[in-house]
Order: sequence, then C-alpha cells, then structure tokens
Amino acid sequence: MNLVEISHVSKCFGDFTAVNDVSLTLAKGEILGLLGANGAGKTTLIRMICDLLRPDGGQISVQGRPGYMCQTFSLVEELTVHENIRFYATLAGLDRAQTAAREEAMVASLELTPYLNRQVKLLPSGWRQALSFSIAVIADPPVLILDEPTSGLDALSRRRMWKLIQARAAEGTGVIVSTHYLDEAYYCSRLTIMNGGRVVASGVPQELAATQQDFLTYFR
Amino acid sequence: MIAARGISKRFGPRQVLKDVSFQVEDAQIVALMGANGAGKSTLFNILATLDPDFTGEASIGGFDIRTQARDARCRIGYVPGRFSLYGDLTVAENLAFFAGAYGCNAADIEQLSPYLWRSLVGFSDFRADTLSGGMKQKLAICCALVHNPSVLLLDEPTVGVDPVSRHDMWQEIGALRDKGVSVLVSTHYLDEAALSDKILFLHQGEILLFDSPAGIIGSYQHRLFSLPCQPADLPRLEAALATEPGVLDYYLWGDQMHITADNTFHGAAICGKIPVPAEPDIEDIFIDTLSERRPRV
Repeated sequence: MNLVEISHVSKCFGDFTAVNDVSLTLAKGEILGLLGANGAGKTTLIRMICDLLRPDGGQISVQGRPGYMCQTFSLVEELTVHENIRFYATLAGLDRAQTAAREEAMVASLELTPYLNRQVKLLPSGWRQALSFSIAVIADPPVLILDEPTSGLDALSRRRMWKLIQARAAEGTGVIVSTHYLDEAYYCSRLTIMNGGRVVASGVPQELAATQQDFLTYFR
Repeated sequence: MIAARGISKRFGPRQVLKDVSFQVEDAQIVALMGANGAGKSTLFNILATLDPDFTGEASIGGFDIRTQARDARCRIGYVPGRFSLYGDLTVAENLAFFAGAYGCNAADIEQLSPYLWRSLVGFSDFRADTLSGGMKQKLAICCALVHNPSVLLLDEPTVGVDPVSRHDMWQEIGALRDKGVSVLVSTHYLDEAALSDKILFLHQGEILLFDSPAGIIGSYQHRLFSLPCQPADLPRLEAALATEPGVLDYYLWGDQMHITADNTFHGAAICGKIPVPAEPDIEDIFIDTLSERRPRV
C-alpha cells in the first residue's frame, strides 16, 4: 500500500491556479523528487500533503503524520540546539527517556556535540539545516517532506544532507523532496516535474533526462 | 573597482576574516566561494560600509570605505543574503522607494536592468511578499541597480532560485560587467562560478585560492575517476570504495560517483564497473580542497 496517494488535486488562490489536477503516489522507501521553476506549485502541493492547506478539489491520503522541513525552517532561533531538540521532542509526544535516546543518536550522527549549547541563530547554515532535518524525523514519521533542504548549502554540506535523506529512505521512510539542484535529481528514485501547477513529466530520472541540462526543457 | 588590503575581523574570540587582500577590477566578475560559515557574508558587510569594526583597508571606486564612506556608498549596489525588500509594498513601490533614497528616477531601471526588469514589469502592482523566491531576488537586484552603481555586491543572489531564473540573472550580471561594473558575487553553484572571470575561495576566513576558473581547475593535484551509480547501488559501491587502495575520497555527482585517487590506484573494475578518467570541475576542486581540511564523512 502506498504511503501517500494524491488524486486530481487542485488549489486556487483567487483566480490564480497554483496546483492543477495533480496525481501522484509515494511508496515505502522511495525518494520522490519534485522539480520545477519558482511558482510551479511545488510548495503549495507540499503544504497540502502536510495538511497545512486544504485542496479545492481532489483527494489526498497520507499514512501517519508527515515529518516536514520547510524552506524557512521551524527552529526556535533564540533557543540552543539542545533546547530545540527537547522542545520538538515534547511537541511530538516523546517521553523523557525516548527524548534522551533520540538526542544522543542525533548528536552522534550529525557531529553536533560542539554546538549543543549554541543558540540556533548562531549556527552555520549547514548545521542548522541538518538540525532541522533531524527534528523533522524526531517522531519517526512514515513520510518525510523536505522543501528545498539543500538550498544555500555548500557542496560538502549538500552531500551530507543527501546521505541523511538516503539513510532514512533505506530504513523504509517515504521521502518527497523539492530541489533546484539538477544533479540532485539523480539521487531520487522517481521524479515529478511541475510547470504552471501541472505535472508535465514523471518517471525515473535517467529515463526523463540523459543529462542535467535536459531537465530544463520541462521548465520552459 | 574593489580593493581590499589585509582585512581581518573578529567576533569576540572567533577570528572570522584573516588578512584578506584582493582586487576586483572594472568590468570583472569575481565569484566568492566557500563553505557555510567561511566568512563570505561578513566580508560583504564590511565592503558595503555597514561594519567599520575591522582592521585593514578597503576602497570602492578609489574611495576609502572608512574615511570616505559616503562617496563609496553611492557607488555600491548591494543585495544582502536576506531579502532586503519591503514585503507590504508593491514591486513598483519598492523600486520607487530605493530610487527616491538615491535621488534617482525609477523609470531608468528599464535601461539599467533590461533582462531582469523584462520579467518583473508584468508584476508591477503585486506586493513583494506575494512574489515567488526567484522574482523577489530579481526585484532585489533591480532595487540595487536603480542608482547605476559601478560596484555590485551580491550575497548569494541565486539561493532558492530555479535554473531558468538563474540563467536570466547571470545574463544581467554579464551585461553589467560588459558595461564596466565590478561584480563580487557569492554562490554555491559551480556553473555560476565557471561564468566568472576569477574565483575567490575563502576557507575559515582566509583566501585559499584566487585565480581564473581555468587556473583553478589546472591546480587539481589528484587523479579523478567517474563511475555510474544508481541510488540502489550506493551501499555496495561505498563499501567497496572504502577499502580500495589509492582511493582518497568519493562522492556522488549526479548519476555518477566521483573518485579522487592517487597514483597507486589501479583503475580496475569496482563492483563490475570500470572507473573512467574524468576532468575535474570547480565543484570537484571545492570538495577536494575542503575534504583535505575536514575529517572524512
């Protein structure tokens, strides 16, 4: 059974149609890449999957409550790394022992030890994004939604983020991820390319485009 | 022209810039690259005359940024990393505001920024906070160009911007260079760095490399190989590469795995696939330079 099933979903803002008759599915362990120009409807679609926006038409079913990492991150800037982890663990309903275990695992895998007591607003953006990622998966969601998780990251931090994503998918989490880096399209198991609110192409990356530049033909 | 001589800067005990010296000539694009936290935005703030608390000297168009800050300032167009627009003003009102602050005419933007304004003009009456990320950045650049500056400072102008809009922006940046403008632009995109005249590579506040893209690629010290890699092959391939003699590093590169190797690497098949020698790109140099200074992930 699919983790996410979307059929014929549309969303308008006034007389602007942001998402137009979109259907897609996400299976266990899959990484579905969402590509498209700014304004193509990616973020609107993501917000509907996360139940933050109600579709005007069509149906969305999602298993469990998705983990969501948005473009602006939802970290509390004034709190430290440690306090953010505690705060979100509490919101997710984890008890003390679970929180401590989760924090220990996160800190080890992200090499966050030197930053534990630093305010989040003083973290370099690579670490901030890695922390946002871990907080999105703190309650082990079956579905993970990432809106441009590598935006503004340097080449090494970008690859580090993708290792985290792929490790998560290998454990069975279904991931939907949007990106503007065309090389990252190849790290996905499947792609959905949007233009003007519609799905203009979907399939395995290598079948959609032989080279990165070929993806741009779908954007225009 | 931008001239920086021995710029150093501390935040408390932390030294964020160390003796940074370089020049951006008239009609030249210099791409500023570096890891997150390397000091790029701090350098922009100083050059934009917003932070006088540094040691060393810098000038913009020949005017010292400390003692002649006012003269320097009116020659600078600056787009900071965070959006600098007024969200509740329309596109046209934002432009009029910035033009007014400099005593210029907002209508001149048509000549000053033809490529970007062309795609914005249809949205003149839209509030800035309703624009997509790419459109916001185009507007921010237009606002920074409305007083016809001779120096342009762009701090990661293409973050979150789609590939087609990035292309538009770089067309404009190229046209400005051809008009004589000095451009310092930070980016994480290797294709943008390759379009620049020179690349300034900052690492932990120090200049590691400052050369043309061709010069930087020519400085590559290792052998580079490429191996096709589908996501499903990844664990097997990584396990094999971890124990392969002569392999210094490996990382994903689109649908390929790039392998950095020394002379002891045999080049025979790995997991049934023969590694093919590859030409390094700016991003390979970036990863190589940083990996040597960072523990291997």
